[in-house]
Amino acid sequence: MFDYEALAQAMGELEEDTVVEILEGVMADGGSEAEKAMEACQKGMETVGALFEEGEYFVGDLIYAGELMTQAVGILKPALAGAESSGPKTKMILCTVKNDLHDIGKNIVKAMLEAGGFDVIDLGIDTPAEKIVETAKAEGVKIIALSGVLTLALDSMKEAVNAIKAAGLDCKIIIGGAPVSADACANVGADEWAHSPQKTVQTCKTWAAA
Amino acid sequence: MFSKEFNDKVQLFWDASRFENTTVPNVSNDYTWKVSDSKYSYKEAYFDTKKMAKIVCENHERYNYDAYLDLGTRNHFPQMQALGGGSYVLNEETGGINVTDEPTMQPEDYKEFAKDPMRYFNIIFQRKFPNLKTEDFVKATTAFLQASGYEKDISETFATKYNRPRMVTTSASVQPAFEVFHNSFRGIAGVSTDMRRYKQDLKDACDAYWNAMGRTSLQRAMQAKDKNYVADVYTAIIAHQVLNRKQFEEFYWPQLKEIINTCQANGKMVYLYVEGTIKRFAEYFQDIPKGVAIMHLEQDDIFEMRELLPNMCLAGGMTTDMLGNATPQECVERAKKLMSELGPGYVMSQNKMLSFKNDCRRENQLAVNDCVRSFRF
Repeated sequence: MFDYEALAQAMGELEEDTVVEILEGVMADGGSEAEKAMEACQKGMETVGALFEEGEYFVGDLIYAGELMTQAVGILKPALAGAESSGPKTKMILCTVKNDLHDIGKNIVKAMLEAGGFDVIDLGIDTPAEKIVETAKAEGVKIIALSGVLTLALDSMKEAVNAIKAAGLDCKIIIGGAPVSADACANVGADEWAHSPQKTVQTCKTWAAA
Repeated sequence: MFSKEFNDKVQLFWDASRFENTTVPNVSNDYTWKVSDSKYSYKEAYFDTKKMAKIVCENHERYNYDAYLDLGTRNHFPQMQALGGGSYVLNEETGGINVTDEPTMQPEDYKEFAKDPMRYFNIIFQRKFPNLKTEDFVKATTAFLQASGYEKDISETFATKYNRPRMVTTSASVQPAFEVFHNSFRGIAGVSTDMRRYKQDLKDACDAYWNAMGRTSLQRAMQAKDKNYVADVYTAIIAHQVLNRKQFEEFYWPQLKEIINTCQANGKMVYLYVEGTIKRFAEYFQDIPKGVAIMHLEQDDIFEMRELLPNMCLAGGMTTDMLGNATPQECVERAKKLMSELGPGYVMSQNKMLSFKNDCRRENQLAVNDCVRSFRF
């Protein structure tokens, strides 16, 4: 029996050594509690999100948290692959829009969304509207998150939103990144906007539960 | 020796930094939008200094700012091409320029870097451009000399023909060392993990860089003569966007404070160009006396920042959202609100670097600049 409270706390405090030590212990023990360990890591990521909202953590901490979470998944993966799933996850699309190559913000949001229980289809950077529409159709996705850093990205976001609507897809769309604002959101025609990954996760959870 | 008009323009910004201005200085934060506003393509502009000179001169003749943050010297395409390509990605259709984030250092390098940063620069250079031949060096040297000649000539043209100073100059650019590791050597993701995994090594490397180069550049800027620019030091504040408060205090603030204190001690001015937001660190700037700094804001609410920093001359506030999407009248209303509510100690400028064609409409910028010229407190 491992101390999953300590694991969640270590993940929340970004204590890499402790996180890795406990996870390796779980795996050395046969990996039967890998899912419990993953839940503890996800709980820790919620703490990370909360500390970000409170202003104690900032972007660098989220990047590090994302890396730590990826590392945790890597350690537990052999055991998780064979374990019973705790239920279907909500699929969603995430990408940086066309003409923008920035991926750090997108990757932070991806890590937080995955920790929040989403099955994220990451279309990468410089993603054309057609690719978003095609994927949404093929995967039956209902939630789409568009990321960008350049002001130029707002044009691409608008193009993507228009293409999604023109294709008749019933999707909720959230935009995020440095240039977005309430005005930009209205102009782009998205349903919501966010500067923080925490708001993105909360919004997507609300949409998934609706 | 500069003209009276030139000196008056410089004085206008100094007066604003001291909250003693009776008119509002207007500094252009237009970097690459002026290319889309011209008849030239981006490629023509970046690879032909004569065309770039024509673009910036016509830009001044059309908009008539009091000073310029850029005169077409940003984005070193010919130099990078001569060195074997580099990391610029230009989209001619949109004017978008992306730079690929390619770390040239690994965490294991910090210790060696700290021992001798100058020597390590050569190693980093070789990593960034691994296949250079002698002829490439010759081409690159030529490209760098041409770029430097362009910068000198265009600055002189603006100072003598148009009687306009540059706001800042490349040679007086001084940043905390953390910026160098964040922006170049290790990248954003790299420093974010290194601050936790290799904290002391990163700190030592930052200190070594500052001692070897940063402080020297700062001292050189204090002694500059016959300046054709306004601010004695230019500090772009970018990397704070990844730092939490504790990290800001450990990795960033001591050197930024040294820059500000050195300017204060020498009666000089620093232009603090802030990317992203800086509201959460506002308290660190509350004790800076008037007349030492101008802080250019990108994403902060400038009215809120005036409340938090009544001591600080602020620049920015004219949003690209409005310049690109609103009507001229709406932009003029915004300009009037900025000037009347922020009062003396405010410098009109675009909040973000004008970069892409939809960042601004010509009629909006013309209306704003007319309004600024006729405004009096």
